[in-house]
Amino acid sequence: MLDGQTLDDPSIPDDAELWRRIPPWHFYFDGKLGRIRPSKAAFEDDGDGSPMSVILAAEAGQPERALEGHEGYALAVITAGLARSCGQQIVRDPTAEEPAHAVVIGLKTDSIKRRFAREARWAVLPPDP
Amino acid sequence: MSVPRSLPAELVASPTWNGQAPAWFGPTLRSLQEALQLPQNWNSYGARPVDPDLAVTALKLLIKSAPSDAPQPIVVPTMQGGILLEWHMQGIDLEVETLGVERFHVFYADEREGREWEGDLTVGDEAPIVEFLTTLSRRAA
Repeated sequence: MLDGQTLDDPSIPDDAELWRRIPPWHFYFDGKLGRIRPSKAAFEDDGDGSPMSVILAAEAGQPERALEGHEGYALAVITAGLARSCGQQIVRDPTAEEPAHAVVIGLKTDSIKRRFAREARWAVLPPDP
Repeated sequence: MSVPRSLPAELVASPTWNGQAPAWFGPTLRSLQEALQLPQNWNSYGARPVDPDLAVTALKLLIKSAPSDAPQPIVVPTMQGGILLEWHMQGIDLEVETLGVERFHVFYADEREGREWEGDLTVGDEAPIVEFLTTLSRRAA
């Protein structure tokens, strides 16, 4: 809910995959989990205060295309269901550059960001160092 | 005129702990210096450049709080120009994020002890961070 208004797009199913570009500074080897994962810092609203940008995987092309022009980046996946279970709403926000662009609207507490970071999978693995 | 984006000389000049800088100091200093060179929108989502004052805050906190045998932190710049220091090892998650030049947000979870702590701390009130880093260092030894 945002100002009492439901914005969430029900045509985006809970199992829909949402892609998020992860810059090199935002992934690392987690020695506790024994794998490379994104930092919670990768799951913030945009710098201008806009909601967190994602790409709807089902409506996008190959995952590598989402990283064109972003050398060294990886591509993380969270599901719409995970975002919704954390009180977020998913809304389509197509742009000229990315028709499959969407935004994840809602307060992102540290615990929510941490959950996204730990439950994210990789659509495109981080490149070898 | 551009603003200098580097750490103050007194911090760059390695402080000494019994005559020898701890292993974490050099790599952490280099990571902070590299983070300070990031441009606007370095993450493609509109991130701000790292605030030099917040980088200094993070480094001063480590110098004051980290034991000499502390594991090296992962240095993570944040969307708003802050610094997040992270450790994930030996059953422990520790995250310390600069909220301002005198404030930090801290998350600590120790799987083995079943202990979790989260809250904001200010400069001069770093005792919990010292305790967490001491536990982490002892376990990593």
